[in-house]
Amino acid sequence: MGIRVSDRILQNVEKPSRYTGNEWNSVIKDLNEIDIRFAFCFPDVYEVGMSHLGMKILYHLLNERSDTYCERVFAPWVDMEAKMREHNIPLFALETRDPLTEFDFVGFTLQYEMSYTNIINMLDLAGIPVLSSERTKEHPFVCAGGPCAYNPEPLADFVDFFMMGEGEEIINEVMDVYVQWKKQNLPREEFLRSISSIEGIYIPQFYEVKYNDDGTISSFSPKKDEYPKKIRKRIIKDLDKVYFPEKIVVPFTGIVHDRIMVELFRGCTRGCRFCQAGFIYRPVRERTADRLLEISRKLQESTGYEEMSLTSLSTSDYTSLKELTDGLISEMEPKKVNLSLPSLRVDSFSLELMEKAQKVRKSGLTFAPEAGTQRLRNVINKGVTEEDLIKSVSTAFGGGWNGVKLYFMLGLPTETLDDIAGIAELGHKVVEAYMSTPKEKRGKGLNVTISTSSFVPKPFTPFQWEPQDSMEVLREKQFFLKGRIKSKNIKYNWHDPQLSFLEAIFARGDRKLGKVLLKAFEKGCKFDSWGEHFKFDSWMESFRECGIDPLFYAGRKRSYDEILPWDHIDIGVSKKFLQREHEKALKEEVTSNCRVNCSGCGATVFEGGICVE
Amino acid sequence: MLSSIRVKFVRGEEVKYISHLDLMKMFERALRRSKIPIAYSQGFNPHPDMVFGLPLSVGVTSESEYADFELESDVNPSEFTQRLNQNLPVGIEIVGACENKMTSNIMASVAGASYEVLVLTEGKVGVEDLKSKLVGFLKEEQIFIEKASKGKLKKIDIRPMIYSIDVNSAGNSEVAENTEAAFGYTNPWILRYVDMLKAEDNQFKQNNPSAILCFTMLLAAGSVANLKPEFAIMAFGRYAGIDFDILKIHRSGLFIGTREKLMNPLDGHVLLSI
Repeated sequence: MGIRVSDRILQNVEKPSRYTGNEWNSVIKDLNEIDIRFAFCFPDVYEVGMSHLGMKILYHLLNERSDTYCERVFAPWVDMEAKMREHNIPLFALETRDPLTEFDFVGFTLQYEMSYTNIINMLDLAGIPVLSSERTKEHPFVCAGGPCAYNPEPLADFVDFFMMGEGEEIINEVMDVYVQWKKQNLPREEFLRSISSIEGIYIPQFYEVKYNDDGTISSFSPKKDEYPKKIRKRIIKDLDKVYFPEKIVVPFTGIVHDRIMVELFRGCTRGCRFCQAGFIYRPVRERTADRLLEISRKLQESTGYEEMSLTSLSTSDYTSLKELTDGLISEMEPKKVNLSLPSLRVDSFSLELMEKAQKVRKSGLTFAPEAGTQRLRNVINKGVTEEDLIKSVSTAFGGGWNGVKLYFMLGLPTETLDDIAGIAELGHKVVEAYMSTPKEKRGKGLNVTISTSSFVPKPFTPFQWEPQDSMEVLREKQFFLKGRIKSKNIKYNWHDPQLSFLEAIFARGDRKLGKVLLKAFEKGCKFDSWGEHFKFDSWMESFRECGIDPLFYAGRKRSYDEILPWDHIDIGVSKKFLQREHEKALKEEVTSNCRVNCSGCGATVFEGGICVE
Repeated sequence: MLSSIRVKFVRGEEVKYISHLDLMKMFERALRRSKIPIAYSQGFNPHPDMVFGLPLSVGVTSESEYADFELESDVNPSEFTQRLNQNLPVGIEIVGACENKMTSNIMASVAGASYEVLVLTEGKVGVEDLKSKLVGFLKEEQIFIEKASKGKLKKIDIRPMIYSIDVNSAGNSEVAENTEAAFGYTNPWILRYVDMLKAEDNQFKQNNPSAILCFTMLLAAGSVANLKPEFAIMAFGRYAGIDFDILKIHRSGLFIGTREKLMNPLDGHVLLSI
């Protein structure tokens, strides 16, 4: 049986129930009856990891297999990690409490760049060599997937293989091959070789990268002809037919998203040019309302949850939203299950829906115009006009709402001070809209919040060639905006650009960054996305000591003919299309969304969803 | 027809780190899974109509927790128990239930609780010696402890809240294999825990050959007066000049009524009558 963490330790850490498992619907299996042990790792704390839908799906999907036992692993919080290291307790899985070294696979989901040091830290805490090249037959295979895997290169030194795209099919194919390999007692490389032909598998050690003197890539090629030159992501063609769990683990302790999540569709039709998700998940594929109602019913019965939410990249775009929400409300209300709505495009339908579904105070509504002027919104292809926004907030104020949150980005390509002044002006217009709403209709006490984040150029977007504004420029822009906001009803929040700077480096990083990650880990960097643990100075020291210029990654404009570190990954959307979109952006031209008109992005190769409707 | 059910349940090692609020949420979800027709409060944010006896501190196990559930229609207690048990996670189990005919709810009527507190002492401490010190301790007319309340230290006399205390040896290096056989001490929860400590922690076995003691105590509990067992141990330790290192706290009983007449919450049987 697994490791017993003594009560002495558990009584002296924050939230000990993070480490004790036994939750309702967690899966218990007999180790004698299975062939494969898979440790599904989320490189953040329990409450964050347990909120992730992808993990819930793949955990239960793998456990549907009679030959496989999938368990959950989260990053222990710093207090627990210190105790574990002090008492020589290796990282263990929640279900059996067995150390990770006893598993066949240790799989990480990559949700954000700033979790990379946690991956290295978790491997180290597990006693698994952090470098792929140092693992032997005694060790588990370390694999990874998720949105950040679309640029796998910064993690190439640490991960044995990546699974590109949606995981439901590919992960089963890998398990099938593994069972055979394990029976035959073949060398470790042989397993990797045999999965290299599975579409979507990327094995970094099978490829060689050469660099020019200026640090850019001169060539990227497979070491043998049998390895694919391009690795195409996987998608699920029919979301109605694909596996979706009927049970999910119900945690004891509160987690970030403590509710049933129902996934309406994958992909997004809108094509906002800064948004990576809008490109990597193409084409848009919906579940039918019938299937969603069936899933909701089953999950409600198996979990007893008191709340349910709808998830997708843009829920207002779901074609059967009214049918679905009517069905859900009529079914769930008698069971005292609340429907929690994501931020919807505000119109009379959605306001009515919010009143029906959420018996909450009419406080906050969220809007994301992203940019302050129509010109810049055209550049980023954000199809929201000032008229839309003011109409929406007026409707909301008239319906009794009194709080509005507005989200913007600073540092978007082509941005000028006029665009930033536009943010403040938009805020003032929202205040005016409130003032011109009759007193008896509007809620008391207006709260407008303007939040700005710093733009991070991402791979597989039309802005992948763009430099990021320097931290100094971003701070100046924040200061400028602060000075332009004159209304006492507006509160301004901004993010420190240091974290965005690091995100920009790793989002578009290459293999050379592996040594920086390792160095930063050695300097104690972890939980970087948690403000109190973010050690910017240690990061900068790591870059210096490795002789790597962070501005090469964050602040450099790339030319269209440069070989980008992620060019060997094929998301269906072509580089040509992204270039066309980039050129249109600079000309301030918009591209219509997929439902209106096909703009020929290339995702039709998958013959799925909206492309074949 | 509205009906009310009172249950007794246990909280084992598996679920001892769950807070009281999380426990209530767990019950709400288990009730929904079991489709038991629980009544909900009226109003904006409906809550299931259930009341728990006395919150358990994080890390404490119990064989004697109680809760009242108000139902919208009649479900007999044994069916209620069976359906809910099928939907409760490992470590929580309903072990008794009855139709609740009491006029006040369990939380309002709790008056006393009994605990087992497993402690470690440095060096050899004779049980008989401790027993006689306990007699002296209980003869004190006032026993003051300092308790932090709203940022200020407050002196409280806990003597009236201590109904009884006894101490026994709960483990010994010579009898590590069979703790139960060697002593008169019999609470199985504590004995199992001592066995587990010894089986899994060699260091524990070597370093602490003879000083594992278990205090058994009956204390005031509930909304009027409530004493946590760790305070009683702390006060006695100070009185006896011994450092007690608490290994485990376990609640063995919870009672309603008054100090003079403590009763079993399920059947009203009188435990103690003065």
